[in-house]
Amino acid sequence: MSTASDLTFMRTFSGGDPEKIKKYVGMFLKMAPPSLNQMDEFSQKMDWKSLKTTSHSLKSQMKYMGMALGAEIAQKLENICAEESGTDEIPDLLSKLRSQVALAVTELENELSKL
Amino acid sequence: MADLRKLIFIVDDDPVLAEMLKDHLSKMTHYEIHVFEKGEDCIEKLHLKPGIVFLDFYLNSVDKDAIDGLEVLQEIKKIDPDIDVVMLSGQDKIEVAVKTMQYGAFDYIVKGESAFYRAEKAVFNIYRFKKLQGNAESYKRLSIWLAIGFGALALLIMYLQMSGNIKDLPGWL
Repeated sequence: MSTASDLTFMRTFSGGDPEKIKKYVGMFLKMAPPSLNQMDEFSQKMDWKSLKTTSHSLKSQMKYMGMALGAEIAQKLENICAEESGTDEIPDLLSKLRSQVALAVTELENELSKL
Repeated sequence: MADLRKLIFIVDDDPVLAEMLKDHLSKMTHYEIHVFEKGEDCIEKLHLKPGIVFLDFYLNSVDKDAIDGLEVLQEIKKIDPDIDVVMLSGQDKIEVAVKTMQYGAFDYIVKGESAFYRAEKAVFNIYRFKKLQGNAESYKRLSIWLAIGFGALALLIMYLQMSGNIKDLPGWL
């Protein structure tokens, strides 16, 4: 079964240090849900510039958490917002991103509990 | 001798990346590292004389009114051109990289898994470049002093010869 996240890079990067993994993943878990809420707000206000910036920022963090699909969706959002074209796709992309983050949060919390 | 400053600033409004980069560079180098979320805070602390600044291209994901990385880069170069700035960006676009180089950035790193290794290499390259620059300056100074020394010696010998203290000029004069 495929997963929404993968901590392989994080383990290599931290040299297997559980405290460091907890620190970085913990920061992501704290930041990702509010970022998604912000993105919803920006979408409703049609503030594409802010939505682009937040997608961009979240994308980098998702890459480190091994969230390939999540990062891909964030990249699509970033591109749409930059071009301000195809904005009707945004609600669907945001919904998919929210699902990916929700799955990843559960997986990551589970991983942290094992450390 | 070139200025080998042992202080690094990391300016990024993504706390996860900033923390990871700080931890990595702390482990791999002997530099002291300060992290800033906003470019304005970094500019305020430039009097601490950092040698290297890792600077995010987009600095307004948290504070919409914050100045962006390019503006910060220009300000840093205006205040202290000796600071080497390494730009960080999530965009793998050659035109963005070229633009930052035109504004005086030393290097451009795309955020991703390899970014930390590349950042470490950038620190090493800057250190090596500064050291070579320092050696070149030392050689230049040495050459100048040698030229002055020989000139003075030649003048002294000519003076001694004219005043009759020595008979013949050495062959090299």
